[in-house]
Parts: sequence; C-alpha cells; structure tokens
Amino acid sequence: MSTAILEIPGDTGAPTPTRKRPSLLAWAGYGVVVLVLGIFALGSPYFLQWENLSSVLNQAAVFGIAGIGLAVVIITGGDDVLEGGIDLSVGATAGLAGSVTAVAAAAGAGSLRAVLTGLAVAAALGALNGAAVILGLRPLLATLATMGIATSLDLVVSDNIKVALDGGVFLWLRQGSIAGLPASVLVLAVAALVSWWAVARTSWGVHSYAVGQNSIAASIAGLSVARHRFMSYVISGVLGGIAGVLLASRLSAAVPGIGGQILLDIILVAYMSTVFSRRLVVNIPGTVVAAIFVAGLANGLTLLGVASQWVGAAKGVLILLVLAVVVVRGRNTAK
Amino acid sequence: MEILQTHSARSSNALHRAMLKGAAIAAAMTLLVTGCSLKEPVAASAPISTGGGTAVAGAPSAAADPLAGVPSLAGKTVGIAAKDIVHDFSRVVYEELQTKIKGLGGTVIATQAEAKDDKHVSNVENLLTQKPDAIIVILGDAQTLSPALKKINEAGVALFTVDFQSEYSANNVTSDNWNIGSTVARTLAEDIGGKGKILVFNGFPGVTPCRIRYSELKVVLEDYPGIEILDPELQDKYEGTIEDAKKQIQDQLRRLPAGEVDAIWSCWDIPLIGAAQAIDPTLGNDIKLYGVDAEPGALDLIADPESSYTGTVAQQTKGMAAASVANVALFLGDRADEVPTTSYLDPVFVNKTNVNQVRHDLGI
Repeated sequence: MSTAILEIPGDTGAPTPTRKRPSLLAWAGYGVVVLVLGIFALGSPYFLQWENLSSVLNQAAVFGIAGIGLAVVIITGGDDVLEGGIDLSVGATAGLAGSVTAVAAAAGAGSLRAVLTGLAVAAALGALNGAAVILGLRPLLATLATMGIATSLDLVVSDNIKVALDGGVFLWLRQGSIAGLPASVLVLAVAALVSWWAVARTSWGVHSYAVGQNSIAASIAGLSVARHRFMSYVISGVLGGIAGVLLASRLSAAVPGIGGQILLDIILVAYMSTVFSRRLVVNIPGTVVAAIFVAGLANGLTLLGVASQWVGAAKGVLILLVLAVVVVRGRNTAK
Repeated sequence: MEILQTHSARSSNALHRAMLKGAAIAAAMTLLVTGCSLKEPVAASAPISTGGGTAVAGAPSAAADPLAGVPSLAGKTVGIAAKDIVHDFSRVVYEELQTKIKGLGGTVIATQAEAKDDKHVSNVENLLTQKPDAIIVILGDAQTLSPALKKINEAGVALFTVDFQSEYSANNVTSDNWNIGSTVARTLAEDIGGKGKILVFNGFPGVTPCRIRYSELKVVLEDYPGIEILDPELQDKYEGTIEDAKKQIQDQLRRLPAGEVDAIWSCWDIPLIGAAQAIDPTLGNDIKLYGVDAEPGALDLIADPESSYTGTVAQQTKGMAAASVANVALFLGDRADEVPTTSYLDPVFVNKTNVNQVRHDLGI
C-alpha cells in the first residue's frame, strides 16, 4: 500500500544521489540557543548549578509533553497555521484532565484510576477534535470550539475552586527523582523517546509526514488521511492529559482555567521545533529542545536580574532571534 | 580579606550582570515597541496620614514611618515574587517594596507572575536558586505555593508575605479581611434597607481574601433574612475582567425583571467597574455597587454622584509595603524577636461622602 512513496530510486537503475552533508548553517538554531544559554551561564554563577538546571527541566516538562502532542498534529495536518493541523484545545484539555484527576482522587478513586480517568477524558476530547476535523471542519475552528467546551467543563468539574492533588504518585511526580533526574523530566524523556521513535522510525511516522505535507498525494498513494489525522488528535489529547496531570501534581492542585494560560507556550514550542530541524519541519526532538530553551529563557533572564516586566519582551526578542535563523536558512536553501 | 575577596567577586559578578542586563534591555527596547501593561511608576511614598493606619502591638506603626530605626539592608539581597501586577493593590505593593528595599541599601530581584499559578511557583523556585537573604511573596495560594515555600524554609532563606498567610512565613502583612468583609456586607445590607436581592461576583472562592470576604458576607446576611443572593452567582475573570463583567451585568439586567436587583457585591473592584459601566447609562436602575481595593477607576466612580458605585475599601498599600520591608530589615538585622507573625494594617472604608478626603489622605 505504501510502497508507492517508499520506492527506492536505485531500483530504476539511475545513479543513487549522494546525500549532502548538512551545512554549518543547519546547526545555527542550536548555535544561537547555546550562545544565549552561554551568556546566562557567564552572567550568573547559579545558572549552571544542577539545582537550577533541574528546576528549568522541571518547568519545561509540561510544555514539552503537550508540545509533542501538538507537534504530532502539525506533522500530520500540515504546518499551515490557518488550514493545517492545529490543536487549540490542548491547553484546556490539560487543565480539564488535571481537574478530573484531582476530583477523582479526592473521591477516593485511587491514584492510578484517577489518572486513567483524567487521561480517558483527554483522549475523548482528542477523539472529538479528530472526528470534527475528518468531517471537514477547519482544525482551527473545531479545536477552538473544543477549547471552549473543555474550559467550561473544567469550571463545572472543579466547581471553580482549586482541587488539592497530593500524596502517592502525585507527590512523587512533584518532588520524586531517579538518579538525580526529577520525575517530571523522566516522564518528558519517556514521552519524547516514544514519540520520536514512532514519528521518525516507523512507517506510521513516515506516513504522517506524507499526509501532512501533501494529503492528496498521500491519499493517491493509498494512505488513509482521515485515520492518520484522527489518531494525531487523540495522541495530542492524551499527551495534553499527561501534561495536565503533571501540572496539577507540580502545583499540588488542579487550578481551574489554567489551560488558557499555558496554551501559547505550548504552541510556541511546537512551532519553534522547526529551528532545530535540518529540513525545517516540525519535529519531536526540536519540540523538547524548544521547551527547555523557553523555560531556560525566563529562568536566565530572572537570574540576570532583568526586571520582571521586561522578561516577556526580552524573551520575545531572543525567540525572534532564533526564529530569524530559520528565515536565513530558508533563503539559503532556496538559492 | 575573605570579605574583601567576596565583595570583589560580587562586584565583578554584579558588573557582568549589569552589562548583560543592560544589553538585554537595550535589545528589547530597540527591537520591540511594546505597550507595557504597567501604569505610571509609583513614587516613593510619603508617610500615610490617616485615621486608620496603625499596626498591631509589636508591628511597626504605619503612621510613624515603620522604617525609622530599622537596620540597613546594605549587602542583603531580597527577592520579590508577586502573583500579579494586574490591579492597583499588588502593583503599588510591588513597586513600593522595591523602592523601600533600595532605600535601605538592599538589592532587589523582582518577579511577577501575570496572575499565573505555575509561573508564580516557577518564579519562587528561580528566586531561590539565587540564594537571596529573604524572599517576599505578594499574594498567592497556599495550596499551590506551599511546596515551593517549604523549599525556601528548608534552604534557610527568610520568607515574608503580603496579604497571604503561610505557615512558612516569618511575617505576613495584611489588612484584616474579616473586618473588611463584615463591614462591606453590613454597609450593603443597611443601605438597601435590610431587604432585597443582590448579585454576587464569586469567581475566586479559593483566593484567601476573597474567601474570607465572601464568608463574612454570608455570615452577615444570616441576620438579614430579607436579603437574597440571586442564582447563579457570577463568575468574574482575572483577564479582561471589566469588559466581561460589563457584558454579564448587561445580560442580567435583560434577564431579570426591572427593579429586581438592589445591589451587587464583589471581593474586588475591577468587575464592579464593568458593572457600573453597564448600569450607569441606563435609567431607572437604583442598584448599589460594593467592592474592595480602592482601584482608581472605582474611586472615580464613587466620587461621581450619578454613578451606582457606592462603596469600596482602601488598603494601605504603601504602608503594607513599608511594614513588610521593615520586618525584613529587623529580621535580617538580628532583631527577629521584634517581628510579629502578622502585621495588620487597618483598612479605610470609602463611600461617596469621604472619597475625596480618603484619596487626599492616602495619596491614592
């Protein structure tokens, strides 16, 4: 079925094209990140201390995991912001999953059942998104509507008050560690490795990129565009749910309405992942690096003593700087 | 010698930080033309002259300048973690704390969390990694912040809070929210003659001051059985509050029969500014609005005899900041025994008859 797009050029007898070594410019995104983080390290003796790095990784975990889910949606739906794959409900889904988990735990469901209940609700929202998109609704509008539903349900489930989430696995997620790595970072690492393997090392991942980059060609080649897109939203929902449970554990409570507060950073890290790709496409490792970079920016600027009201502006400038690298690289590639 | 070396190293680090900070800010200013959400910077406060402002026994007196005679903060670093600077109370406390700390020779690292709980926690964690001598937290939620505050405690860094009670805090400076809540509720009940129906904004039942003020409202209304809180209670939002509240009240006025609502209550002023914008242009509505915080916009409306905005409560924001800094200085200056667990500053009740006088007295 899929051999049409995976056909090996060598079979035709034509000379096999040699793969070009990536130019140094391909690593420019990483270079700018290392430069910025290096400035922070020089500016503050605390930046490179393990305690601080651990804190940055901890702060990046929620955005990283939810960002991976969004990255899968963009990969499968295409990176056109208006017409392509987007999941605006991922933040609200995270918030709702956290609230459902906290309410279930408070009702005596036990940690595992509480988490599974939260994730089931998140998966259901993902399925709703997927169904709406394959029915022909624009992802931007469909997921905007779902965001409203999830936000409202969050207020209903939590009764608009913070619901405590402590003890057991939630306490471990907040302050546990293995070999010095915080628990939330381990969850991020597992989510990233599994997602990276699925996207970069399986036929499903190759097909997902194919569907996202040219759905008509992928359909002609026999791929089920609808199935891939539906699954991408379910994955986004589940990963959003995991992020929500992590966030609620970190805050030791589910906070109603928190989904809207984290959405922009999730979108930012998913799209920013293109900077860390040789082909300038949304990807999983890049999403994780972007999440760590964004968390490191706020931390580093605070350590440098930049006034709080300027942190957002300075962070924006540095992100623009990194993104500018993509433009320069894109122009060079086009020449 | 060791002190000199440490000082030299600190100076060097400070120079590096200053250069990098300058570069970052210059870049930001050059490349971004941004509309900062901050209002005009607050000037150093003058001593507060009010009939209200005194602290409890052991706490510095606001009227007598709490900073008089306290130890210097030279060589000390104090971190500030504000929940937000969205409304006037937290913005003024945030700015004033910095002014007072610098005035005593201390170094400030200031952060604000844009009203986001996760950012508030991150800011506290980021401050702690810099090992300051003390951290002052302005507002917050005990449930979400306690784990981070416990870390501060375990690291041996002194913690102080403003309007936020925590078991880990060496001192909390606050207004007496029970007093505020019951007085606003009694005033409302008496103003509408002990009977009628009221709308209530209750979007933040988990925020301590709001929880206390709301519970006091309920307690007071037990003695006014003729007053009914209309269902459903309204949900005020933290962002886009005024516009959202305006729409909600416009909808309620359409939904409910004319003359059904006698008053509207909120634990803070911002939603009521929107409510006044919805009510004031209409004719025939005798609805009275009661809030807390003495936001400038609310005070303007109260001063307007035609406005439905009837009363609010002014907190001594500058006095609270000064009291907190005084407590930090005493604590770090080996005079911890002079620092009370809680420093209460009296609130000042504002209505249409005293609004101009209070504004003059408190400089708000």
